[in-house]
Amino acid sequence: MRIIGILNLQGDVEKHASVFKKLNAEIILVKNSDDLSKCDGLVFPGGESSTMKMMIEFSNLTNALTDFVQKKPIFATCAGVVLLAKTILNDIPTKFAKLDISVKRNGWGRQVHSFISEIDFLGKSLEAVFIRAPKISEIGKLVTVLAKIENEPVLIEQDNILASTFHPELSEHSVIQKYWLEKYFG
Amino acid sequence: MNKKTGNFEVKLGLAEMLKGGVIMDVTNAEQAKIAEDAGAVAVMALERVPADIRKDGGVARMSDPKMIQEIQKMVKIPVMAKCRIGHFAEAQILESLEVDFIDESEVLTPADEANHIDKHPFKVPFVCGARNLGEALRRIGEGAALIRTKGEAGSGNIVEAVRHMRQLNAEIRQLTVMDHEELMAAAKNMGAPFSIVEQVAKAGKLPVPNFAAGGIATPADAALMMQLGAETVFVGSGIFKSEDPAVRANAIVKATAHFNDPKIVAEVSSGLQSAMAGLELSEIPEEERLAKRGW
Repeated sequence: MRIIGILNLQGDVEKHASVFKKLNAEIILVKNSDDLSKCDGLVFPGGESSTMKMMIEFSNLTNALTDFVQKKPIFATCAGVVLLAKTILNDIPTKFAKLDISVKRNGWGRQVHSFISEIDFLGKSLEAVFIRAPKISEIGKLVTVLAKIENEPVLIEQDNILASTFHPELSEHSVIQKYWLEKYFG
Repeated sequence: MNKKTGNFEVKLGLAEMLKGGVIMDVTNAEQAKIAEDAGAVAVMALERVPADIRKDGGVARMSDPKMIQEIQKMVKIPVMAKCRIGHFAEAQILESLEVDFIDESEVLTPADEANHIDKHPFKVPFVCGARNLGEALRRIGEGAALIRTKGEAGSGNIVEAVRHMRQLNAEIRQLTVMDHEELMAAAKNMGAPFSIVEQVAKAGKLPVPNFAAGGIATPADAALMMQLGAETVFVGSGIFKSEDPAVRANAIVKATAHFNDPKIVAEVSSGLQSAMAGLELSEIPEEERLAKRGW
């Protein structure tokens, strides 16, 4: 059994944990580099990227994460996409950024514009929940787009990283998580 | 593509994203920037922090929209704002400004002594204070997507927030061991909607996130409330009424993220300047207790 880490410095950690528990994955909530060293893959939850960025630095996780995101399977949601983006239009990228994309924090607008919509993923229609979501404005050659809304990429993949600007953990279906587990740990 | 906005799931979604963080009271754009740079997950825009409202007296109302907009321009984190209990016109104004959360708050002077706002029709999520489970479930019944303890705002004294959190948790635990017949009597005694009582009895927790507010002034206060089951903390007067707002704000953020690690809480508590002075609860006359506002 592979161990899935969930970065536990701020955000909807509990929602992610309950989905992976339902899928019978073994999980560790990651607060420091010791926790991270036990993990075979890592989930970046939703939350505020600015708070997480600061707490990653404070918790001495920057170097360990830089190493980890290069090779281990990563599932990044919402704020996680911002933390891993090489270019952020309205903020400074992290040292461990790897995704060859440009994003804008809250690119879809403030909370009154947060929305639920359907996306097409591998031929299926799925519910997707967007909460003050970042918008991906540019993608590099290494990036594959797996789903779009209004022609904007919302679910992408690059090497070992699956990234969604929406929150699969807030929907009942766990299609995206199953895809990630099967592809990288199957 | 059909985009649904403003439904309860989306409101709850933002409350989930705020977990494990610190929401800070700010009274202008400059303070909002300090809060964001210190690691706040959101700011609460208000005209005067509760300690000053308490001191100055008079009617405390919703903030000037201009000030709220200046704060919205300054920061990228969510901006919350307070309206008076029952003052749905203030809430409508805050919604039109696109604040991210509305706090129907006992810190402001209540506009309606009988009714709280019907929060369901709004697209913006609401947070409401509670002293016990009945109060929390009535607010959820009205459409609140987030509950916080009332504590005693502006007191710098954690005792009321602790009381309210313990009360809420004890009542939730009691529900979980009741049989189905007893739940209706519990709902009657609490004055709470039966369907939500059933839901809480089954899940062993509120159907919305549960945060702490009212009297948090130190990193240790934040760690205490988080260990008592709060999922995030609101800090009001505690930051900008202290001698070192930026450093203290950042220390409280760190203590909240690592609330289970006393070594880290000790480290961030070291060498801080004086916290806000604070009030012994017996110094606050019953009629001046903010927690008594609302029902």
